[in-house]
Amino acid sequence: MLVQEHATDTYRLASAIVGAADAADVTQETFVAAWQQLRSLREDRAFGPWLRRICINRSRNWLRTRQRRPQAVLDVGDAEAAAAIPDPRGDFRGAVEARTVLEPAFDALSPDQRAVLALHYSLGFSIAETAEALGVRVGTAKSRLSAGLAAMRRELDRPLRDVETEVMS
Amino acid sequence: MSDERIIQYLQQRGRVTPPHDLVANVMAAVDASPPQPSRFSPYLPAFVAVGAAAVIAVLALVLGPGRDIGPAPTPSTAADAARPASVDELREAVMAGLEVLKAKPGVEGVGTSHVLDEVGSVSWFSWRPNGDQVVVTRSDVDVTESGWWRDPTGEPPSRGTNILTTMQVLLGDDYYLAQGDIDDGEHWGWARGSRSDSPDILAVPFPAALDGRLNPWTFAPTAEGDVTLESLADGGQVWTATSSLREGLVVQEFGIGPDGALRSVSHELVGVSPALEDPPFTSAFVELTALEDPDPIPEPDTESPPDPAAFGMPDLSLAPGPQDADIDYRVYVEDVLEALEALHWNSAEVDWQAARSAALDGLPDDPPAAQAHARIRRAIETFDFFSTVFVRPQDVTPGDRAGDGEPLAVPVADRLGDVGHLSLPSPGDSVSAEAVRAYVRAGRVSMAAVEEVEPACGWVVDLRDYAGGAWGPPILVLGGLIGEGRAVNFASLDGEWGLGIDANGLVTVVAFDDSDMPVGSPYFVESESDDEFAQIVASEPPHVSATNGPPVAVLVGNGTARGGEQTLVAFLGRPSTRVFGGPTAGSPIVAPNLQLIDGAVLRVPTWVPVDRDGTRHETNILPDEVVGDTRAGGTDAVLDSALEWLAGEAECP
Repeated sequence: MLVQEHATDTYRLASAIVGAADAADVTQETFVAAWQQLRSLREDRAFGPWLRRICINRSRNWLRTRQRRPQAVLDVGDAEAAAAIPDPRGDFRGAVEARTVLEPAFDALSPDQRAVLALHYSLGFSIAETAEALGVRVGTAKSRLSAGLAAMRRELDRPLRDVETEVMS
Repeated sequence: MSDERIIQYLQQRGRVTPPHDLVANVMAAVDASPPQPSRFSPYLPAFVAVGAAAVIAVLALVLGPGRDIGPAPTPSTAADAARPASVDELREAVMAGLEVLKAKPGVEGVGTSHVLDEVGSVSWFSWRPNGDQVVVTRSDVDVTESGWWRDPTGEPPSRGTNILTTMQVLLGDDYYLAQGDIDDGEHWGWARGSRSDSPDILAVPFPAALDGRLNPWTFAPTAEGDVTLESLADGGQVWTATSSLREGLVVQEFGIGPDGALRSVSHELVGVSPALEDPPFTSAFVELTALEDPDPIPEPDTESPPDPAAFGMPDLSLAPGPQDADIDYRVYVEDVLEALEALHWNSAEVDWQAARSAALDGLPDDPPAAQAHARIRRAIETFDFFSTVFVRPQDVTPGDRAGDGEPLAVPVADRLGDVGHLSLPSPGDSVSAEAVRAYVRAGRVSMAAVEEVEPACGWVVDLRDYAGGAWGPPILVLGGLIGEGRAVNFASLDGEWGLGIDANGLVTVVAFDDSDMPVGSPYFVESESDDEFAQIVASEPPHVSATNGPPVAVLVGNGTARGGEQTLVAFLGRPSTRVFGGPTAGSPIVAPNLQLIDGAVLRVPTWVPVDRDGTRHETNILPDEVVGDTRAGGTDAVLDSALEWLAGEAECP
């Protein structure tokens, strides 16, 4: 029952942080961890926020672990990854831009920056809810949010990406 | 690319459809997971200390010349998910991880320590199983040794100009030591001796680990979950140990790689104000790497200035530490000064030119956070030593440490004959809205209980121990007793607002204008507590005494401060009211906490309380009857005087 109720939200959160290709694995890890830690859940705490916190931690660990490994070159023809690419404007150019420019920029962010951007922008959490989910103060959440966006801008400002954009357009 | 496009992309990332078999797969994974671990068993602090000592000893031994440290401990078993663990398990895992490292053909490590945002030192070592090793430590002496961070107004000294480098090499039976400034090439020289003369602590990857000042290594987790074990997807583990240190925490992490080797150690002080006995850093991190096919450590060239790069040492930069790239700390300082000038109740009398000069003269364009914080404190010193407070992020006490939302103490009412007696302790500074609600409810319920059978003829309100920050909790408790009308006004540079009380004792905020509070700087965080507070004001019916406008004796003293003094002002000018005790602490001006984006807090005395007779209260408030506090001697002369006065009132014959 709990799995059915929370699986979709957990998957979306994981997907927003680690990407759609790994979201199912992180979701599984999250529920397994929650199951094993269920006894530590205090009665007065809601299951949803608690599960969310676990999912965020698992996503961060997933990213950190991945950063330690040599990164595989993403196959452009990877059907699963391609299917996960959102098409924001319903046009091919937008999809290509997201796939080739925005996604690499997002992938270059730190796990903490990805988590805060995912909670606030991808899942629509308020700043206060984002701070609560991350277990940080509101000010810290704002600061991380701002830093995350700035980091993305910096990534996008790299000359190579500009060239890619030009090529793709 | 526009921000709008970036945000649009981020929004799209959350709009994905899960695979159709997600729930089934999750259920299968949960079913296949191992049973829940047994509950975390309590352990003794002394045992913990023994465990920590063992960790330190093993860290020291790992690079030693192949010493026998006894039988190898049982390797830790990999867990599948985060779970509570014991210090004993942690110790065994770290020892096992070190044993795995020692079996490798070589080990390299890089350690970095920070003092707040500053890099204090970096060190590098390379070790071989026969005991040959090279260790290089570069330390910014100004950062690590000057102790500047222990001074609330201290700012970082010049960085990167006083770098002491120490290089030690053990090769065969020879020991080499060189020390000096690697950057200007001065004071370099080799000393050569035998290995047996070398210091025992040579080559510990975390040099401070054996330093006697590193007390937090003797961590003492006291609650379930203070030690946790989490398994990583790559087969590695992260062990986390959390313990209390004064008002903050010490968090230590030990990373074990999938091959079972220790691969990282981190150590961080969180929310801990500095003290002399602390280690010379606020965070430190060591990363260990097993070498599969290392070259032998070369013979040092003792004829020329030593070159650490000759041993394969990477560039160990002592660049400034991590800093929020989005905060221009010079602008941050300017914005804080602007806020102070706009809000400080005595702004017209302040020499702002002197304050700005103290803050900004000589401040570089992109100063480190610690320097900016120190300059703000220095500026405040030029005009207000006592009331304006700037709390650095690392000194801010976490609000959630006030006990799960519970106030530290709640009001208690009792009955002294025909008189009701209400003591109002301070609920603490960092209480949540939930805690304020609990405080108010406790006070009102307690007052109602006192008058449940028979109304009190009068009340004693004891504010002698109300040294807390907020006026809200006590005035919300006392609304029914203070009585109908405008109880108190608060005057700022731009106008006045006040507290009104209706016939039912409900407190309302009148003409409050906070348009100046978010001072237009991106570095200030808007308060989100006002709505919560408004809900509390509206939600709890106050207790109103059946006695119409009963006489009230208010007890005050030098322990009556801030919110306590503001509550006192709400009683001044009230009919049938008399104040007993000693002068109050002298900080009656309301000082809102303004939170800055990096977590710092600025408390600016802004609103001067004005009583119903129009008198402004900027400093100590004197009682109507000065009575010495005799409570330490087991009597209470102030209370006795109050009861004596009440006995003479018409309502209390």
